[in-house]
Amino acid sequence: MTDTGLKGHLYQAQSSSRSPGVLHVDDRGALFVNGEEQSCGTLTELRIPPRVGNSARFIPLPDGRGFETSDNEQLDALLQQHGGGPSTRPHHLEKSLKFIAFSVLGTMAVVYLLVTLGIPAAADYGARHVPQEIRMEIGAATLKQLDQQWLTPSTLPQSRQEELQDLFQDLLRDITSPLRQPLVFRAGNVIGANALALPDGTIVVTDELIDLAENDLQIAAVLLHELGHVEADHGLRSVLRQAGLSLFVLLAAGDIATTSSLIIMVPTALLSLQYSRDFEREADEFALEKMLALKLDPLAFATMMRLMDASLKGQEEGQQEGQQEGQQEGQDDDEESGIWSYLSSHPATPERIKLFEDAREP
Amino acid sequence: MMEPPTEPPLVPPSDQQAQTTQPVAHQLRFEGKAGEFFGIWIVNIILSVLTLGIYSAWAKVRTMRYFYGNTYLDDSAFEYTAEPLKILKGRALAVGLLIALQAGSAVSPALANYFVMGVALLFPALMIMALRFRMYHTRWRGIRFGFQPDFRNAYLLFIPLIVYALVLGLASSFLPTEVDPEQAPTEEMMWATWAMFGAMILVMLMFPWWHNRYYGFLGNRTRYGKHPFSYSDGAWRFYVIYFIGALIMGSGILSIISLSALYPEGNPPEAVGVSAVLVTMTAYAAAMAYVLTARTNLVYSRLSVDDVKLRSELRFPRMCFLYVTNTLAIILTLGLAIPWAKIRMARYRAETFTVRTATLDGFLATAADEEAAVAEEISDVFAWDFGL
Repeated sequence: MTDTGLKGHLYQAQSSSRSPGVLHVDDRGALFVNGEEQSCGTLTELRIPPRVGNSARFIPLPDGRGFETSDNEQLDALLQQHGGGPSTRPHHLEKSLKFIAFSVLGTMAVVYLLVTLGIPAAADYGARHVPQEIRMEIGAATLKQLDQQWLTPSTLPQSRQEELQDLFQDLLRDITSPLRQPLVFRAGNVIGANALALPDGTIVVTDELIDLAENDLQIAAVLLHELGHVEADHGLRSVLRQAGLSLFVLLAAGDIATTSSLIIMVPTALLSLQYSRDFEREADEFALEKMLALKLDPLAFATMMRLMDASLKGQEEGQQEGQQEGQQEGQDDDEESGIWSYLSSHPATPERIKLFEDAREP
Repeated sequence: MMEPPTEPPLVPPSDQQAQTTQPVAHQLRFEGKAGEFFGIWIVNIILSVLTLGIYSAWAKVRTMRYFYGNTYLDDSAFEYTAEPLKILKGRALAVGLLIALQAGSAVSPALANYFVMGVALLFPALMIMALRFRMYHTRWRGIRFGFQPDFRNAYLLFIPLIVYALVLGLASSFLPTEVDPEQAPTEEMMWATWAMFGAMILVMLMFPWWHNRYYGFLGNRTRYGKHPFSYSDGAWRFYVIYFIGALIMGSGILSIISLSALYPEGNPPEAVGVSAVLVTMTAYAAAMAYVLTARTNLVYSRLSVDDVKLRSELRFPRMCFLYVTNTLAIILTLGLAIPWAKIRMARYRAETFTVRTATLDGFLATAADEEAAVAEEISDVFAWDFGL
């Protein structure tokens, strides 16, 4: 079976000079190069690298010369015939359509589980173990950053602020979270009618939101939603989830360094928006439950959502920034479903309004 | 018993050489196939996951061997000879260090800072060790490449960057962490700000010059067998490249400024804002692609070994096309197009790379005992890749 021999190139020892070469292997595995009388060794004593695809392989001959061949099929057949040689298992897996299909599905499953369960679980675990001082520091730093970039001191009269603090204290009665802070009032300016829950439990309310509300019940509804974020520690959890997500995407795609940062940015952004929507839904459910427990009309939340939505449209300004830290209210466009729902940090407004309207006893 | 082969003895190499004295341009040839590599790539991923990362060392070697072994110069393929086990050892050590650092910094936060400083100080040495490993394990026609470890000059090379980092660090210690617009800055603060500003401008002006020195350092210490590479020096072409890169970036910024001038009220419609972001990103990507393309061409075309001249002729429009289509394909296929993207990039890089010489047969390997000494010295720990 070896009459034809392995075709390739022969290299002299210690030199780059090359000649065409044919390697013959006899029945006992002895090697003969280019028809030389003298065998230059046996196949089994060679250190032949394992096959990778159809890339060329360089076979160091025992006498110092080298033999290079791309005839991988015949080389593998010879190795199998005479025993020894490197493992061919990886190559067979890489060629097997079944195993490739399994790998694609398996990888997708692993990535899916990591993104939907692994990273959130790790981040939530981390959030539970962040020392209180660090949490406070993160909260203070976030507020400082917001103050520098967007917010200015509140212009609400002192009496009104105190009134709202009292209202807030009433709502706090059933809250178990240790993260209870007084309300913080700020003028929202470009971020408009909005409320944010920070990682240390601070809730920031903008003057615009207070002005927008028709009554205190509607303000209470928004505050309960934010308390939902605080109670479930969404602020810190989302910071950590996004950190974990960035790390994962970087590790997974880091190999393709030069192919533009878009590959890294797009999936990270889409997935962190998904986490954000999940938290918003949770906070809505919390608010609804509390409102029902406190015998408050859930319709107030729905009305407030409509008001904020309308005010946002009136404002008609790009205000996409600012959702990295803290959870925000009032940023929804009215695209109800389809591809746009993946591009929003909040569930669609009609969907949220419906939750509260349906909950109202007829 | 096998039959004695009947072919006539082949022409000795020295006779072949004598026939070709005119220099010939040999184009690199890349024979990797996207379909074939897809199998290797996806199996690498799943096995790395299933073995909790242990297989990643084998994955690395198989990927390198696939790309090297499919790149041909004058019909001889390149070879990557590193052993997966050694790479695994290096990685295990790196992971161990990170875990130790994590545990340590929980006890003392200062430890993390010292560690970062230590890595920064060790960087030139680590870079040399990694390059040495990489070059030693690259072979063509059975002869290894090599990298001369020259620690003294590596540190001299990095001194400007270290000084720059020190100036920034020192100056920023004079600046308050919070800026109070009400209060007039003190004299020290003014000096510190000017020092930082000056250092940044100086580094920007120096960078093309420095980059030329950097590639000179790498090029002149690389060898193929016994034969050292040489890099033909010259900083001004780096200045030209970086200047054009800055122009491309600047044109993007300029178009945004003129766009915003159309809305003096400061209330542009959302579409304008979105297109401003797109213009910035495009300008940035185009500038990066330009610098990368032009610099690759420049650096390779300046390298020679004996009378062998290298030449890289990547074209900017084609590179942009490849980057854009690769990025889109990868995003639309949720990453499954990565192997295809890598293969076509490698193919284009090979197609545009030529090696010009009369003969490629005259290279000699370093003496066997010398090579054994190098192999002994090369530490497995430095199988790390720095993406150099």
